[in-house]
Amino acid sequence: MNWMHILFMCEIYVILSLSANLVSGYTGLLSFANAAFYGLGAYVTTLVMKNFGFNYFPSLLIAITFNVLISFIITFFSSRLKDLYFTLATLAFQVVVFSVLYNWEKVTGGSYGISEIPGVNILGYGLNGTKDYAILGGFFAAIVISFFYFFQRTPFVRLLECIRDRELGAVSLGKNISYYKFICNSVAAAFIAIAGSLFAVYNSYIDATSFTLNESILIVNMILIGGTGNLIGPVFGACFYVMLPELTRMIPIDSTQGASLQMIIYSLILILVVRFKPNGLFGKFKFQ
Amino acid sequence: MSFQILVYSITSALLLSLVAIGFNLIFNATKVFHLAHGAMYVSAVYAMYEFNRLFKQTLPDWISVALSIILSLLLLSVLIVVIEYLVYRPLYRKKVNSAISLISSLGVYMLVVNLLTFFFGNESISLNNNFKIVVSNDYFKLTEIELLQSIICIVLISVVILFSKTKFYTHIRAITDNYQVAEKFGVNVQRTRIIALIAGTVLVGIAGIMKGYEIAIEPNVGLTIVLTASVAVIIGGVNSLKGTILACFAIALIENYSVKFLSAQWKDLLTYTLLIGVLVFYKQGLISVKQRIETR
Repeated sequence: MNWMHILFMCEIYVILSLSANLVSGYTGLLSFANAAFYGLGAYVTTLVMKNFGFNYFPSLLIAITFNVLISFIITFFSSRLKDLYFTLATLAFQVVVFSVLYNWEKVTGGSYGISEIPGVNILGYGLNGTKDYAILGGFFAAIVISFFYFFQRTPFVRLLECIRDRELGAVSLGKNISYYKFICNSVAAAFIAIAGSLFAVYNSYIDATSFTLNESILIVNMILIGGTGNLIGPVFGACFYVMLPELTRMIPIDSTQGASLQMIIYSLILILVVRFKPNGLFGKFKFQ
Repeated sequence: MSFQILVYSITSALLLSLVAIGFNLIFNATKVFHLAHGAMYVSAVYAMYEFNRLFKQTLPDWISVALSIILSLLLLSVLIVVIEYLVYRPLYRKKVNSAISLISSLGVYMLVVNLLTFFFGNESISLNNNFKIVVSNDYFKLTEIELLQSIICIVLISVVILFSKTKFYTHIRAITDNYQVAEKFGVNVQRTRIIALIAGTVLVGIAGIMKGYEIAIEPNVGLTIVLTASVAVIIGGVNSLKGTILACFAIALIENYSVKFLSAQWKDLLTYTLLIGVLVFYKQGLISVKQRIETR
Protein backbone atom coordinates (compact mmCIF):
# COMPACT_ATOMS: atom_id res chain seq x y z
CA MET A 1 0.00 0.00 0.00
CA ASN A 2 1.40 3.33 -1.07
CA TRP A 3 0.70 5.70 1.78
CA MET A 4 2.13 8.76 0.07
CA HIS A 5 -0.21 8.23 -2.88
CA ILE A 6 -3.20 7.94 -0.53
CA LEU A 7 -2.09 11.09 1.29
CA PHE A 8 -1.85 12.97 -2.01
CA MET A 9 -5.31 11.84 -3.15
CA CYS A 10 -6.70 12.84 0.27
CA GLU A 11 -5.23 16.32 -0.18
CA ILE A 12 -6.76 16.70 -3.65
CA TYR A 13 -10.18 15.56 -2.48
CA VAL A 14 -10.01 17.74 0.63
CA ILE A 15 -9.54 20.76 -1.65
CA LEU A 16 -12.37 19.57 -3.91
CA SER A 17 -14.86 18.84 -1.15
CA LEU A 18 -14.11 22.05 0.74
CA SER A 19 -14.74 24.05 -2.44
CA ALA A 20 -17.94 22.12 -3.14
CA ASN A 21 -18.92 22.80 0.46
CA LEU A 22 -18.51 26.53 -0.11
CA VAL A 23 -21.16 26.41 -2.84
CA SER A 24 -23.44 23.73 -1.38
CA GLY A 25 -23.04 24.14 2.34
CA TYR A 26 -22.96 27.91 2.62
CA THR A 27 -25.30 29.00 -0.13
CA GLY A 28 -27.47 25.88 -0.30
CA LEU A 29 -27.03 25.33 -4.03
CA LEU A 30 -26.34 21.68 -4.73
CA SER A 31 -23.98 21.64 -7.71
CA PHE A 32 -23.01 18.63 -9.81
CA ALA A 33 -20.54 20.63 -11.91
CA ASN A 34 -17.50 20.23 -9.64
CA ALA A 35 -15.81 17.56 -11.73
CA ALA A 36 -16.25 19.78 -14.79
CA PHE A 37 -14.18 22.52 -13.15
CA TYR A 38 -11.74 19.90 -11.89
CA GLY A 39 -11.29 18.68 -15.46
CA LEU A 40 -11.06 22.18 -16.92
CA GLY A 41 -8.39 23.07 -14.36
CA ALA A 42 -6.39 19.97 -15.24
CA TYR A 43 -6.71 20.45 -18.99
CA VAL A 44 -5.97 24.18 -19.05
CA THR A 45 -2.86 23.72 -16.89
CA THR A 46 -1.68 20.88 -19.09
CA LEU A 47 -2.32 22.65 -22.37
CA VAL A 48 -0.61 25.85 -21.26
CA MET A 49 2.40 23.90 -19.94
CA LYS A 50 2.74 21.78 -23.06
CA ASN A 51 1.92 24.27 -25.80
CA PHE A 52 3.49 27.46 -24.45
CA GLY A 53 6.24 25.88 -22.37
CA PHE A 54 5.19 27.79 -19.25
CA ASN A 55 6.27 26.75 -15.78
CA TYR A 56 3.75 25.19 -13.37
CA PHE A 57 2.81 28.25 -11.34
CA PRO A 58 2.04 30.64 -14.23
CA SER A 59 -0.04 27.90 -15.85
CA LEU A 60 -1.88 27.38 -12.58
CA LEU A 61 -2.69 31.10 -12.51
CA ILE A 62 -4.03 30.92 -16.06
CA ALA A 63 -6.12 27.86 -15.15
CA ILE A 64 -7.56 29.65 -12.13
CA THR A 65 -8.47 32.69 -14.24
CA PHE A 66 -10.08 30.47 -16.86
CA ASN A 67 -12.10 28.57 -14.26
CA VAL A 68 -13.32 31.77 -12.64
CA LEU A 69 -14.46 33.03 -16.04
CA ILE A 70 -16.29 29.76 -16.76
CA SER A 71 -17.90 29.84 -13.30
CA PHE A 72 -19.87 32.89 -14.47
CA ILE A 73 -22.10 30.37 -16.23
CA ILE A 74 -22.87 28.65 -12.93
CA THR A 75 -23.52 32.03 -11.36
CA PHE A 76 -25.90 32.80 -14.18
CA PHE A 77 -27.74 29.51 -13.47
CA SER A 78 -27.88 30.23 -9.75
CA SER A 79 -29.36 33.67 -10.28
CA ARG A 80 -32.20 32.27 -12.38
CA LEU A 81 -32.89 28.75 -11.11
CA LYS A 82 -33.83 27.24 -7.79
CA ASP A 83 -32.98 23.95 -6.08
CA LEU A 84 -33.96 21.06 -8.38
CA TYR A 85 -33.60 23.06 -11.57
CA PHE A 86 -30.24 24.47 -10.54
CA THR A 87 -28.99 20.96 -9.76
CA LEU A 88 -30.21 19.73 -13.13
CA ALA A 89 -28.60 22.63 -14.98
CA THR A 90 -25.24 21.96 -13.32
CA LEU A 91 -25.62 18.26 -14.11
CA ALA A 92 -26.19 19.11 -17.76
CA PHE A 93 -23.23 21.51 -17.68
CA GLN A 94 -21.07 18.69 -16.32
CA VAL A 95 -22.08 16.37 -19.16
CA VAL A 96 -21.51 19.13 -21.74
CA VAL A 97 -18.00 19.86 -20.45
CA PHE A 98 -17.17 16.16 -20.34
CA SER A 99 -18.45 15.76 -23.87
CA VAL A 100 -16.27 18.62 -25.10
CA LEU A 101 -13.18 17.26 -23.33
CA TYR A 102 -13.83 13.78 -24.63
CA ASN A 103 -14.71 14.59 -28.23
CA TRP A 104 -12.69 17.68 -29.16
CA GLU A 105 -9.80 15.59 -30.40
CA LYS A 106 -7.68 18.36 -31.91
CA VAL A 107 -7.15 20.11 -28.61
CA THR A 108 -7.73 17.61 -25.82
CA GLY A 109 -6.59 14.43 -27.52
CA GLY A 110 -10.05 12.91 -27.19
CA SER A 111 -10.17 9.47 -25.66
CA TYR A 112 -6.38 9.11 -25.90
CA GLY A 113 -5.89 11.91 -23.40
CA ILE A 114 -2.68 13.92 -23.05
CA SER A 115 0.47 12.21 -21.91
CA GLU A 116 3.99 13.35 -20.97
CA ILE A 117 2.89 16.34 -18.95
CA PRO A 118 6.04 18.08 -17.68
CA GLY A 119 6.67 17.97 -13.94
CA VAL A 120 6.77 20.86 -11.49
CA ASN A 121 9.94 22.86 -11.26
CA ILE A 122 10.34 25.17 -8.24
CA LEU A 123 13.32 27.54 -8.54
CA GLY A 124 15.38 24.99 -10.38
CA TYR A 125 14.43 22.05 -8.19
CA GLY A 126 12.37 19.54 -10.20
CA LEU A 127 9.90 17.58 -8.12
CA ASN A 128 10.04 13.85 -8.62
CA GLY A 129 8.51 11.01 -6.69
CA THR A 130 5.22 10.78 -4.86
CA LYS A 131 6.63 12.28 -1.69
CA ASP A 132 7.51 15.62 -3.28
CA TYR A 133 4.05 15.92 -4.79
CA ALA A 134 2.47 15.00 -1.47
CA ILE A 135 4.36 17.92 0.08
CA LEU A 136 3.23 20.29 -2.71
CA GLY A 137 -0.36 19.05 -2.33
CA GLY A 138 -0.09 19.44 1.44
CA PHE A 139 1.02 23.04 0.93
CA PHE A 140 -2.02 23.85 -1.20
CA ALA A 141 -4.39 21.87 1.04
CA ALA A 142 -3.05 23.79 4.05
CA ILE A 143 -3.71 27.08 2.24
CA VAL A 144 -7.27 26.04 1.42
CA ILE A 145 -8.01 24.67 4.90
CA SER A 146 -6.62 27.75 6.63
CA PHE A 147 -8.56 29.98 4.23
CA PHE A 148 -11.77 28.26 5.27
CA TYR A 149 -10.72 28.25 8.94
CA PHE A 150 -10.41 32.03 8.97
CA PHE A 151 -13.28 32.47 6.54
CA GLN A 152 -15.65 30.82 9.03
CA ARG A 153 -15.01 33.59 11.51
CA THR A 154 -15.93 36.45 9.19
CA PRO A 155 -19.30 38.21 9.09
CA PHE A 156 -19.42 37.34 5.40
CA VAL A 157 -20.17 33.71 6.29
CA ARG A 158 -23.09 34.67 8.48
CA LEU A 159 -24.55 36.53 5.54
CA LEU A 160 -24.12 33.44 3.37
CA GLU A 161 -25.84 31.34 6.03
CA CYS A 162 -28.63 33.85 6.03
CA ILE A 163 -29.00 33.45 2.25
CA ARG A 164 -29.00 29.67 2.62
CA ASP A 165 -31.57 29.56 5.40
CA ARG A 166 -33.93 32.28 4.25
CA GLU A 167 -33.23 33.96 0.96
CA LEU A 168 -36.15 36.31 1.22
CA GLY A 169 -34.85 37.54 4.58
CA ALA A 170 -31.49 38.37 3.04
CA VAL A 171 -33.20 40.21 0.20
CA SER A 172 -35.28 42.24 2.59
CA LEU A 173 -32.08 43.28 4.41
CA GLY A 174 -31.01 44.85 1.14
CA LYS A 175 -28.33 42.33 0.22
CA ASN A 176 -27.47 41.65 -3.38
CA ILE A 177 -27.76 37.87 -3.43
CA SER A 178 -26.41 37.33 -6.93
CA TYR A 179 -23.20 39.11 -5.93
CA TYR A 180 -22.59 36.79 -2.97
CA LYS A 181 -23.39 33.70 -4.99
CA PHE A 182 -21.00 34.98 -7.64
CA ILE A 183 -18.21 35.30 -5.08
CA CYS A 184 -18.84 31.79 -3.72
CA ASN A 185 -18.89 30.22 -7.16
CA SER A 186 -15.72 32.00 -8.29
CA VAL A 187 -13.73 31.16 -5.16
CA ALA A 188 -14.84 27.51 -5.36
CA ALA A 189 -13.93 27.31 -9.05
CA ALA A 190 -10.51 28.82 -8.34
CA PHE A 191 -9.73 26.28 -5.62
CA ILE A 192 -10.96 23.42 -7.77
CA ALA A 193 -8.57 24.56 -10.52
CA ILE A 194 -5.70 24.06 -8.04
CA ALA A 195 -6.86 20.48 -7.40
CA GLY A 196 -7.14 19.78 -11.11
CA SER A 197 -3.67 21.11 -11.89
CA LEU A 198 -2.16 19.04 -9.05
CA PHE A 199 -3.86 15.94 -10.42
CA ALA A 200 -2.49 16.62 -13.92
CA VAL A 201 1.16 17.19 -12.97
CA TYR A 202 1.14 14.30 -10.49
CA ASN A 203 -0.13 11.70 -12.95
CA SER A 204 1.68 13.24 -15.98
CA TYR A 205 -1.23 11.83 -17.99
CA ILE A 206 -4.87 12.92 -18.11
CA ASP A 207 -7.89 11.82 -20.06
CA ALA A 208 -11.51 12.89 -19.88
CA THR A 209 -12.76 9.75 -18.14
CA SER A 210 -11.31 11.03 -14.84
CA PHE A 211 -13.80 13.90 -14.90
CA THR A 212 -17.14 12.20 -15.47
CA LEU A 213 -20.46 12.74 -13.77
CA ASN A 214 -19.54 9.92 -11.37
CA GLU A 215 -16.69 12.05 -10.06
CA SER A 216 -19.13 14.87 -9.33
CA ILE A 217 -21.45 12.45 -7.59
CA LEU A 218 -18.51 11.26 -5.51
CA ILE A 219 -17.70 14.82 -4.45
CA VAL A 220 -21.33 15.45 -3.50
CA ASN A 221 -21.24 12.16 -1.56
CA MET A 222 -18.21 13.41 0.35
CA ILE A 223 -19.86 16.60 1.52
CA LEU A 224 -23.15 14.86 2.30
CA ILE A 225 -21.66 12.13 4.48
CA GLY A 226 -19.46 14.49 6.45
CA GLY A 227 -22.06 17.19 6.71
CA THR A 228 -22.15 20.54 5.01
CA GLY A 229 -21.63 24.02 6.32
CA ASN A 230 -18.55 23.41 8.45
CA LEU A 231 -14.88 22.54 8.13
CA ILE A 232 -14.53 19.08 9.65
CA GLY A 233 -17.35 17.44 7.68
CA PRO A 234 -15.93 17.75 4.13
CA VAL A 235 -12.41 16.90 5.33
CA PHE A 236 -13.70 13.76 7.01
CA GLY A 237 -15.82 12.83 3.98
CA ALA A 238 -12.90 13.26 1.57
CA CYS A 239 -10.53 11.14 3.66
CA PHE A 240 -13.20 8.49 4.21
CA TYR A 241 -13.93 8.10 0.51
CA VAL A 242 -10.25 7.95 -0.43
CA MET A 243 -9.59 5.27 2.21
CA LEU A 244 -12.63 3.14 1.37
CA PRO A 245 -11.28 1.58 -1.89
CA GLU A 246 -8.14 0.53 -0.01
CA LEU A 247 -10.37 -1.44 2.35
CA THR A 248 -12.51 -3.04 -0.35
CA ARG A 249 -9.33 -4.04 -2.19
CA MET A 250 -8.64 -6.53 0.61
CA ILE A 251 -11.75 -8.53 -0.29
CA PRO A 252 -10.67 -11.27 -2.71
CA ILE A 253 -12.79 -10.63 -5.85
CA ASP A 254 -11.75 -9.59 -9.33
CA SER A 255 -11.29 -5.94 -10.18
CA THR A 256 -14.51 -5.18 -12.12
CA GLN A 257 -16.56 -6.74 -9.33
CA GLY A 258 -14.48 -4.79 -6.83
CA ALA A 259 -15.31 -1.53 -8.64
CA SER A 260 -19.03 -2.29 -8.56
CA LEU A 261 -18.83 -3.35 -4.92
CA GLN A 262 -17.24 0.01 -4.16
CA MET A 263 -20.05 1.85 -5.95
CA ILE A 264 -22.62 -0.32 -4.11
CA ILE A 265 -21.13 0.73 -0.79
CA TYR A 266 -21.02 4.41 -1.86
CA SER A 267 -24.65 4.40 -2.95
CA LEU A 268 -25.84 2.53 0.15
CA ILE A 269 -24.07 5.05 2.36
CA LEU A 270 -25.59 7.88 0.33
CA ILE A 271 -29.12 6.49 0.66
CA LEU A 272 -28.73 5.77 4.38
CA VAL A 273 -27.21 9.16 5.17
CA VAL A 274 -29.96 11.02 3.31
CA ARG A 275 -32.58 8.86 5.01
CA PHE A 276 -31.40 8.84 8.62
CA LYS A 277 -28.92 11.65 9.07
CA PRO A 278 -29.75 14.32 6.51
CA ASN A 279 -27.26 16.79 7.94
CA GLY A 280 -24.35 14.36 7.78
CA LEU A 281 -22.16 13.18 10.61
CA PHE A 282 -20.89 16.59 11.67
CA GLY A 283 -23.10 19.00 9.80
CA LYS A 284 -25.17 21.80 11.18
CA PHE A 285 -27.27 22.38 8.14
CA LYS A 286 -29.51 20.04 6.20
CA PHE A 287 -31.07 20.63 2.83
CA GLN A 288 -34.75 20.92 3.56
CA MET B 1 -31.38 8.41 -46.94
CA SER B 2 -33.01 11.30 -45.18
CA PHE B 3 -36.35 9.50 -45.32
CA GLN B 4 -34.72 6.59 -43.51
CA ILE B 5 -33.65 9.01 -40.78
CA LEU B 6 -37.24 10.20 -40.48
CA VAL B 7 -38.50 6.63 -40.02
CA TYR B 8 -35.81 5.89 -37.50
CA SER B 9 -36.56 9.13 -35.63
CA ILE B 10 -40.22 8.23 -35.37
CA THR B 11 -39.57 4.79 -33.92
CA SER B 12 -37.02 6.08 -31.44
CA ALA B 13 -39.30 8.97 -30.52
CA LEU B 14 -42.12 6.53 -29.77
CA LEU B 15 -39.84 4.48 -27.51
CA LEU B 16 -38.54 7.62 -25.83
CA SER B 17 -42.07 8.82 -25.20
CA LEU B 18 -42.89 5.64 -23.26
CA VAL B 19 -39.94 6.36 -20.95
CA ALA B 20 -40.84 10.04 -20.74
CA ILE B 21 -44.53 9.44 -20.01
CA GLY B 22 -43.58 7.08 -17.20
CA PHE B 23 -41.18 9.67 -15.88
CA ASN B 24 -43.82 12.37 -16.13
CA LEU B 25 -46.41 10.31 -14.19
CA ILE B 26 -43.92 9.56 -11.43
CA PHE B 27 -42.59 13.11 -11.28
CA ASN B 28 -46.08 14.54 -10.99
CA ALA B 29 -47.31 12.07 -8.40
CA THR B 30 -44.27 11.92 -6.15
CA LYS B 31 -42.28 15.11 -6.91
CA VAL B 32 -39.20 12.89 -7.00
CA PHE B 33 -36.87 13.44 -9.92
CA HIS B 34 -36.82 9.70 -10.47
CA LEU B 35 -33.38 8.97 -11.93
CA ALA B 36 -33.75 5.33 -10.84
CA HIS B 37 -36.14 5.13 -13.78
CA GLY B 38 -33.04 4.50 -15.92
CA ALA B 39 -32.05 1.63 -13.68
CA MET B 40 -35.53 0.16 -14.16
CA TYR B 41 -35.05 0.40 -17.93
CA VAL B 42 -31.87 -1.63 -17.76
CA SER B 43 -33.07 -4.13 -15.15
CA ALA B 44 -36.07 -4.93 -17.33
CA VAL B 45 -33.69 -6.13 -20.05
CA TYR B 46 -31.64 -8.16 -17.60
CA ALA B 47 -34.70 -9.75 -15.98
CA MET B 48 -36.11 -10.59 -19.39
CA TYR B 49 -32.80 -12.12 -20.47
CA GLU B 50 -32.47 -14.29 -17.38
CA PHE B 51 -36.10 -15.45 -17.30
CA ASN B 52 -36.05 -16.23 -21.00
CA ARG B 53 -32.87 -18.26 -20.63
CA LEU B 54 -34.50 -20.16 -17.76
CA PHE B 55 -37.73 -21.03 -19.57
CA LYS B 56 -36.38 -21.55 -23.08
CA GLN B 57 -35.26 -25.10 -22.41
CA THR B 58 -38.58 -26.46 -21.22
CA LEU B 59 -41.27 -24.33 -22.86
CA PRO B 60 -42.07 -23.47 -26.47
CA ASP B 61 -40.60 -20.22 -27.69
CA TRP B 62 -43.54 -17.80 -27.63
CA ILE B 63 -44.85 -19.01 -24.25
CA SER B 64 -41.40 -18.55 -22.79
CA VAL B 65 -41.18 -14.99 -24.15
CA ALA B 66 -44.66 -14.04 -22.93
CA LEU B 67 -44.08 -15.56 -19.50
CA SER B 68 -40.72 -13.80 -19.16
CA ILE B 69 -42.22 -10.44 -20.11
CA ILE B 70 -44.98 -10.81 -17.50
CA LEU B 71 -42.60 -12.04 -14.82
CA SER B 72 -40.03 -9.29 -15.44
CA LEU B 73 -42.67 -6.56 -15.33
CA LEU B 74 -43.97 -8.09 -12.09
CA LEU B 75 -40.45 -8.14 -10.68
CA LEU B 76 -39.98 -4.48 -11.61
CA SER B 77 -43.25 -3.55 -9.92
CA VAL B 78 -42.19 -5.31 -6.73
CA LEU B 79 -38.82 -3.54 -6.91
CA ILE B 80 -40.38 -0.10 -7.30
CA VAL B 81 -42.78 -0.72 -4.40
CA VAL B 82 -39.83 -1.73 -2.21
CA ILE B 83 -37.99 1.45 -3.27
CA GLU B 84 -41.07 3.53 -2.49
CA TYR B 85 -41.43 2.02 1.00
CA LEU B 86 -37.74 2.15 1.92
CA VAL B 87 -36.56 5.35 0.29
CA TYR B 88 -39.16 7.68 -1.20
CA ARG B 89 -41.95 7.50 1.38
CA PRO B 90 -39.76 8.38 4.38
CA LEU B 91 -38.43 11.35 2.43
CA TYR B 92 -41.98 12.38 1.56
CA ARG B 93 -42.90 12.22 5.26
CA LYS B 94 -39.91 14.39 6.11
CA LYS B 95 -40.95 16.92 3.42
CA VAL B 96 -37.41 17.23 2.07
CA ASN B 97 -36.76 19.48 -0.91
CA SER B 98 -36.53 18.18 -4.43
CA ALA B 99 -32.73 18.37 -4.68
CA ILE B 100 -32.40 15.91 -1.81
CA SER B 101 -34.89 13.47 -3.29
CA LEU B 102 -32.92 13.77 -6.54
CA ILE B 103 -29.81 12.69 -4.65
CA SER B 104 -31.45 9.70 -3.02
CA SER B 105 -32.91 8.69 -6.36
CA LEU B 106 -29.40 8.92 -7.80
CA GLY B 107 -28.27 6.68 -4.94
CA VAL B 108 -30.95 4.12 -5.83
CA TYR B 109 -29.89 4.32 -9.49
CA MET B 110 -26.25 3.67 -8.68
CA LEU B 111 -27.17 0.86 -6.28
CA VAL B 112 -29.32 -1.02 -8.81
CA VAL B 113 -26.94 -0.55 -11.74
CA ASN B 114 -23.91 -1.65 -9.76
CA LEU B 115 -25.75 -4.65 -8.35
CA LEU B 116 -26.44 -5.61 -11.96
CA THR B 117 -22.78 -5.24 -12.98
CA PHE B 118 -21.71 -7.04 -9.82
CA PHE B 119 -23.77 -10.12 -10.58
CA PHE B 120 -23.97 -10.16 -14.38
CA GLY B 121 -20.73 -8.46 -15.42
CA ASN B 122 -20.11 -5.37 -17.47
CA GLU B 123 -20.71 -6.72 -20.98
CA SER B 124 -23.70 -5.64 -22.99
CA ILE B 125 -26.46 -8.18 -23.51
CA SER B 126 -28.83 -8.54 -26.42
CA LEU B 127 -32.12 -10.41 -26.30
CA ASN B 128 -32.40 -11.41 -29.94
CA ASN B 129 -31.58 -9.42 -33.01
CA ASN B 130 -32.11 -11.57 -36.08
CA PHE B 131 -35.29 -9.93 -37.26
CA LYS B 132 -36.39 -9.93 -40.85
CA ILE B 133 -36.82 -6.75 -42.85
CA VAL B 134 -40.49 -6.30 -43.67
CA VAL B 135 -40.49 -3.19 -45.79
CA SER B 136 -37.64 -2.38 -48.11
CA ASN B 137 -37.78 0.05 -51.02
CA ASP B 138 -35.76 2.90 -52.44
CA TYR B 139 -36.59 5.27 -49.62
CA PHE B 140 -36.42 3.33 -46.39
CA LYS B 141 -36.13 -0.03 -44.68
CA LEU B 142 -38.21 -1.20 -41.76
CA THR B 143 -37.43 -4.28 -39.69
CA GLU B 144 -39.98 -6.44 -37.92
CA ILE B 145 -38.98 -5.24 -34.50
CA GLU B 146 -39.23 -1.58 -35.47
CA LEU B 147 -42.73 -2.15 -36.78
CA LEU B 148 -43.68 -4.06 -33.63
CA GLN B 149 -42.17 -1.35 -31.43
CA SER B 150 -44.12 1.38 -33.18
CA ILE B 151 -47.43 -0.52 -32.95
CA ILE B 152 -47.02 -1.37 -29.26
CA CYS B 153 -45.89 2.16 -28.44
CA ILE B 154 -48.82 3.75 -30.26
CA VAL B 155 -51.27 1.44 -28.45
CA LEU B 156 -49.71 2.15 -25.06
CA ILE B 157 -49.56 5.89 -25.66
CA SER B 158 -53.25 5.94 -26.63
CA VAL B 159 -54.06 3.95 -23.48
CA VAL B 160 -52.18 6.50 -21.39
CA ILE B 161 -53.95 9.41 -23.10
CA LEU B 162 -57.32 7.75 -22.44
CA PHE B 163 -56.18 7.14 -18.87
CA SER B 164 -55.43 10.82 -18.50
CA LYS B 165 -59.17 11.52 -18.84
CA THR B 166 -60.04 9.35 -15.81
CA LYS B 167 -60.59 10.43 -12.25
CA PHE B 168 -57.36 8.80 -11.14
CA TYR B 169 -55.31 11.14 -13.29
CA THR B 170 -57.17 14.05 -11.72
CA HIS B 171 -55.93 12.75 -8.37
CA ILE B 172 -52.37 12.84 -9.65
CA ARG B 173 -52.82 16.42 -10.81
CA ALA B 174 -54.33 17.36 -7.47
CA ILE B 175 -51.29 15.93 -5.71
CA THR B 176 -48.99 17.81 -8.08
CA ASP B 177 -50.74 21.06 -7.29
CA ASN B 178 -50.88 20.72 -3.53
CA TYR B 179 -50.79 17.35 -1.84
CA GLN B 180 -51.91 18.62 1.55
CA VAL B 181 -55.12 20.06 0.18
CA ALA B 182 -55.60 16.94 -1.94
CA GLU B 183 -55.33 14.81 1.19
CA LYS B 184 -57.97 16.92 2.94
CA PHE B 185 -60.32 16.37 0.04
CA GLY B 186 -60.09 12.62 0.36
CA VAL B 187 -57.43 11.72 -2.20
CA ASN B 188 -55.50 8.72 -1.00
CA VAL B 189 -52.01 10.10 -1.59
CA GLN B 190 -50.05 6.97 -0.71
CA ARG B 191 -52.11 4.74 -2.98
CA THR B 192 -51.96 7.21 -5.85
CA ARG B 193 -48.20 7.44 -5.51
CA ILE B 194 -47.78 3.67 -5.62
CA ILE B 195 -50.08 3.24 -8.63
CA ALA B 196 -48.32 6.02 -10.52
CA LEU B 197 -44.92 4.52 -9.71
CA ILE B 198 -46.02 1.07 -10.89
CA ALA B 199 -47.61 2.44 -14.07
CA GLY B 200 -44.50 4.45 -14.94
CA THR B 201 -42.21 1.53 -14.21
CA VAL B 202 -44.24 -0.89 -16.33
CA LEU B 203 -44.09 1.59 -19.23
CA VAL B 204 -40.33 1.99 -18.92
CA GLY B 205 -39.91 -1.78 -18.55
CA ILE B 206 -41.76 -2.40 -21.81
CA ALA B 207 -39.65 0.25 -23.53
CA GLY B 208 -36.46 -1.34 -22.20
CA ILE B 209 -37.41 -4.84 -23.32
CA MET B 210 -38.30 -3.64 -26.81
CA LYS B 211 -35.02 -1.72 -27.08
CA GLY B 212 -33.20 -4.82 -25.85
CA TYR B 213 -34.63 -6.75 -28.78
CA GLU B 214 -33.31 -4.11 -31.17
CA ILE B 215 -29.78 -3.41 -29.90
CA ALA B 216 -27.48 -4.67 -27.17
CA ILE B 217 -27.92 -2.99 -23.80
CA GLU B 218 -25.23 -2.43 -21.19
CA PRO B 219 -25.91 -1.46 -17.57
CA ASN B 220 -24.78 2.16 -17.84
CA VAL B 221 -27.02 3.36 -20.67
CA GLY B 222 -29.94 4.02 -18.32
CA LEU B 223 -28.81 7.44 -17.09
CA THR B 224 -28.53 8.93 -20.58
CA ILE B 225 -31.97 7.65 -21.48
CA VAL B 226 -33.67 8.89 -18.35
CA LEU B 227 -31.97 12.27 -18.65
CA THR B 228 -33.07 12.58 -22.27
CA ALA B 229 -36.59 11.68 -21.17
CA SER B 230 -36.43 14.29 -18.43
CA VAL B 231 -35.32 16.85 -21.00
CA ALA B 232 -38.46 15.97 -22.95
CA VAL B 233 -40.62 16.27 -19.83
CA ILE B 234 -39.22 19.68 -18.96
CA ILE B 235 -39.38 20.97 -22.54
CA GLY B 236 -42.94 19.76 -22.95
CA GLY B 237 -44.09 21.30 -19.72
CA VAL B 238 -44.24 19.20 -16.56
CA ASN B 239 -48.02 19.22 -16.35
CA SER B 240 -48.76 18.14 -19.87
CA LEU B 241 -48.60 14.57 -21.23
CA LYS B 242 -49.17 15.69 -24.80
CA GLY B 243 -46.38 18.23 -24.49
CA THR B 244 -44.07 15.46 -23.34
CA ILE B 245 -44.88 13.34 -26.39
CA LEU B 246 -44.38 16.28 -28.75
CA ALA B 247 -41.09 17.12 -27.11
CA CYS B 248 -39.96 13.50 -27.51
CA PHE B 249 -40.55 13.76 -31.25
CA ALA B 250 -38.70 17.07 -31.40
CA ILE B 251 -35.70 15.68 -29.51
CA ALA B 252 -35.53 12.51 -31.59
CA LEU B 253 -35.70 14.50 -34.82
CA ILE B 254 -33.02 16.95 -33.68
CA GLU B 255 -30.74 14.17 -32.44
CA ASN B 256 -31.03 12.04 -35.54
CA TYR B 257 -30.89 14.81 -38.12
CA SER B 258 -27.89 16.40 -36.41
CA VAL B 259 -25.95 13.28 -37.36
CA LYS B 260 -26.05 14.58 -40.93
CA PHE B 261 -24.15 17.72 -40.00
CA LEU B 262 -22.17 16.75 -36.92
CA SER B 263 -20.69 13.40 -36.06
CA ALA B 264 -22.69 11.15 -33.74
CA GLN B 265 -20.41 11.72 -30.77
CA TRP B 266 -21.83 15.24 -30.28
CA LYS B 267 -25.36 13.93 -29.71
CA ASP B 268 -25.07 14.14 -25.92
CA LEU B 269 -23.75 17.67 -26.11
CA LEU B 270 -26.72 18.75 -28.20
CA THR B 271 -29.33 17.21 -25.90
CA TYR B 272 -27.84 18.66 -22.75
CA THR B 273 -27.29 22.09 -24.25
CA LEU B 274 -30.96 21.97 -25.16
CA LEU B 275 -31.74 21.08 -21.53
CA ILE B 276 -29.70 24.03 -20.24
CA GLY B 277 -31.32 26.37 -22.72
CA VAL B 278 -34.81 25.25 -21.79
CA LEU B 279 -34.09 25.42 -18.06
CA VAL B 280 -32.71 28.92 -18.28
CA PHE B 281 -35.13 30.46 -20.77
CA TYR B 282 -38.31 28.35 -20.71
CA LYS B 283 -38.49 26.73 -17.29
CA GLN B 284 -42.25 26.41 -17.60
CA GLY B 285 -41.89 24.35 -20.74
CA LEU B 286 -43.14 25.18 -24.19
CA ILE B 287 -46.67 24.06 -23.39
CA SER B 288 -47.66 25.13 -19.93
CA VAL B 289 -50.66 25.42 -17.71
CA LYS B 290 -51.41 28.81 -16.18
CA GLN B 291 -50.16 28.99 -12.61
CA ARG B 292 -50.02 31.47 -9.81
CA ILE B 293 -46.71 33.34 -9.88
CA GLU B 294 -45.64 32.29 -6.38
CA THR B 295 -46.03 28.58 -7.11
CA ARG B 296 -43.79 28.64 -10.14
